[in-house]
Amino acid sequence: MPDGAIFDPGLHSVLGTTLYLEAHRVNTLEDAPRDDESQYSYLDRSAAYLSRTILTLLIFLLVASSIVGERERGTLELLLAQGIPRSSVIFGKTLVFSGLVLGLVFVSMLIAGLLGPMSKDALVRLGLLSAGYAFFLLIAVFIGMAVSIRTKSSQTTITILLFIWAFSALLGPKLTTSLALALNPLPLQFKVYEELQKDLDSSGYLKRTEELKGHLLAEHGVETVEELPFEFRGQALQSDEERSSFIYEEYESGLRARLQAQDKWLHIARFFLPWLAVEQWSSAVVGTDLKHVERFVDVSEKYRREMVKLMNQHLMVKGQESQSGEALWSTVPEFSYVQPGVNYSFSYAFPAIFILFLWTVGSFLFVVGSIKYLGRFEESV
Amino acid sequence: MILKSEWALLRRSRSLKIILFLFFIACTVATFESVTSYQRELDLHQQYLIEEQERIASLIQAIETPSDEVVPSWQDPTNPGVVGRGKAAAYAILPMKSFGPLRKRWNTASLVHVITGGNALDHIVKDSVHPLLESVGKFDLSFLILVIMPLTIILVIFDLITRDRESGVLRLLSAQSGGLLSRYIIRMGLRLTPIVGMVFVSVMVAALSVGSLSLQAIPLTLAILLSLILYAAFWGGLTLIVQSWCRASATSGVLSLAVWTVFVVLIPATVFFVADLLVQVPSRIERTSASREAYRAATLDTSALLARYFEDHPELADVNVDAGNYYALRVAIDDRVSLARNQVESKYFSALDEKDKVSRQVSFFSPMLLMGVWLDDVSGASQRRINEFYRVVNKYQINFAKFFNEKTLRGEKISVLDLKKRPEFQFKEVTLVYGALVGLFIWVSLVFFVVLIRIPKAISLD
Repeated sequence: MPDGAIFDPGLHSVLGTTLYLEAHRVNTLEDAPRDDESQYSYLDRSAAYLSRTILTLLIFLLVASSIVGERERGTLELLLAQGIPRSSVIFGKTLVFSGLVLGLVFVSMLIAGLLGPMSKDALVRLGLLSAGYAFFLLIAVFIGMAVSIRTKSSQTTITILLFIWAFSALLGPKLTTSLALALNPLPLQFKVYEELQKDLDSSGYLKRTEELKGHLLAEHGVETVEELPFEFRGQALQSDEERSSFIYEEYESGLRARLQAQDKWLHIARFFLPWLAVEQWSSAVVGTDLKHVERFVDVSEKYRREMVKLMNQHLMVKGQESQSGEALWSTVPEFSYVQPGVNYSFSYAFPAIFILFLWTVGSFLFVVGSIKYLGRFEESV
Repeated sequence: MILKSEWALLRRSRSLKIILFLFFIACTVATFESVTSYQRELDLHQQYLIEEQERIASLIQAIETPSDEVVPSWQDPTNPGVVGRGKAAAYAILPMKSFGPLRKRWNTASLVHVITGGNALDHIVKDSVHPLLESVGKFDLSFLILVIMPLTIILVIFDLITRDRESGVLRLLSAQSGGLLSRYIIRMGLRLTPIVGMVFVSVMVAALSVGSLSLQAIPLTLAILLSLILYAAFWGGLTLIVQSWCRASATSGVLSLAVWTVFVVLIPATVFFVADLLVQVPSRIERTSASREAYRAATLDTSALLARYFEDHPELADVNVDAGNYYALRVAIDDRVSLARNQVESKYFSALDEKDKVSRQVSFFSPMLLMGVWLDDVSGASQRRINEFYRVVNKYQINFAKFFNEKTLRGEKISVLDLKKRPEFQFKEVTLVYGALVGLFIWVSLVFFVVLIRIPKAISLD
């Protein structure tokens, strides 16, 4: 698990974190942390989820009454009557709230930096993560400000902000992912498994072995397998392994193509729901998103194939079959997974941070555009 | 009189109408999501049953038309094509409940084999979904009730008193007549009615549209309605209490939402964090390792293994199996692995039971959690029920395997009639627990006790 998973466990929490590597079988990820958690939690409890969901609500609550509250108390009229420009009132308040948010992100970054590993890669990730969350929280500040400026009563402000929050942070992500699934349904797991088994068993191991035997005997111009320059059993196992690996690969790529089709919808949705954009950015930078999980699976599968090949090659050497003990296993290199550098995340998650940047600019312009509303209600009174 | 004036207010207030309209949309979407999700689960179960029938048909064909093909060593030599990994298998399906649409559960079916190499947890069959959907969860009726309904209640109640105070109406009312407390409670009740009504109708529509409601479900339906009323009353009362401390509507709104955050997010996150710390569940890796270690140990001494197997199964004392019978060995290995696995698994289930118990106890800290536990119980999605399901599947697994193994180890041919007599999966429903409902009632009583004390004081200050 990457270091940042403590903050954002991403899809590892539902997909699993370990793979059992063995010959003849390609296993799926297991040991998903979510499976062992209390089942009565209805909201994700990760720090990342709380940051992008609950923190936004708190920001909305903080900002909601900033203008409309002054308006209701009558102090806004006083301020404007003193000759303070409308833009100064708005930018002053916006600056304070933005400063608070940026300060919060900076302090969190500082604490995480001090507690976490100090490598260059880790620091860059931390910086990028903080940038993503800073943009996202600023969007909340700007939208909250604009709504507070444009509304007449606090009830309306709170209602609108709460609706925006509930839709963008709670309903939107759920509905979008459900819609993506409905538009590109995945094949049923047991059907896939059945078909896979059928393909794997299609010609029968014994029949395949017989065919291979015939082919090898003809190729080497010999009558019996004992006359072959290698142990036939090792070759038979390796051929079967290559065949099954190919079939597994076909199925895996088919499944990934479907997931990518669903992802296309999510890409579109990210333009409208910054929550989804920051979710992607966060898990991509930390290294717990689908791409990273798939990469881990691919690297593991490559290792598995090499390990099995090594075993089968050992079996192919005549007279070595009985020596497949500890000595053989000591020649198998240890599995070690190195997380890809931050460039890897950046290569595909860049649109997410760009969307967040666009939203930040857009929502700030929304605040600027709202300046003209300040004092309008007071004038009308 | 109050009814009339409140109705007039509701008709005049654009924001209240918008809130209720949006809530109506949320109810519609949640009902649709819940129904489609339930329907998909039902379809899946149906497909499993079809697949099981196909398996049986293929087994019958294998019995009736013996093939000349070489029998692989891992198959029973007496019944080629009939018994072997994945050949004779059955689906154990957790029955759907009348109010199943309330909450989605992912793992409700398991495929039981004769030779398994594992048990219920290894053979869970489930729907395939995008992992992000699994991560963010569905927008179902449970989510609507637990999370969205309190938000809506806060929105319609948070300025009930403060607005009157801000506009000076409260001063006028207190000068005119007494009974202000009952006036505000009635007004609150009137505002809660459409919200509770919409949710209840959604629940009923969901249950009826999947055709799962019977006459026996009437008491449960009333209990659900009662729980909805209690839950709504809790949030309504709490929002009234908040107003007793605030003079401005804006402050009351902000504070009410902060209280929502505490009860819906902070307390659940904290108590479950503590519950997870208190009860450590053996990891899946531990369970997987146990079965693999048992497999390794079993295969090390195969000659002793068969003898041990027959010692463990005295009903097969008269059976004489050749030590080189690979299929018999497979059966014996599987038996050993299941035994080892079940030992670890019983530890796992005990831990899950303990965790469920602790989770239920800590849920008393938040009415949202109590309501969640209650909804899980009535919809059949509770951890308690799922644990019980896996336990029954494990027992069924043993009986199912035994049914075929006894015959095959005796060298007897399995007939079509035998197949018809195979054990069927049966699940005895766990009893419904009303503890959460009682907890909710206690919370509501507490809240209204405070309302009775705080509100008259707050009103009289004006």
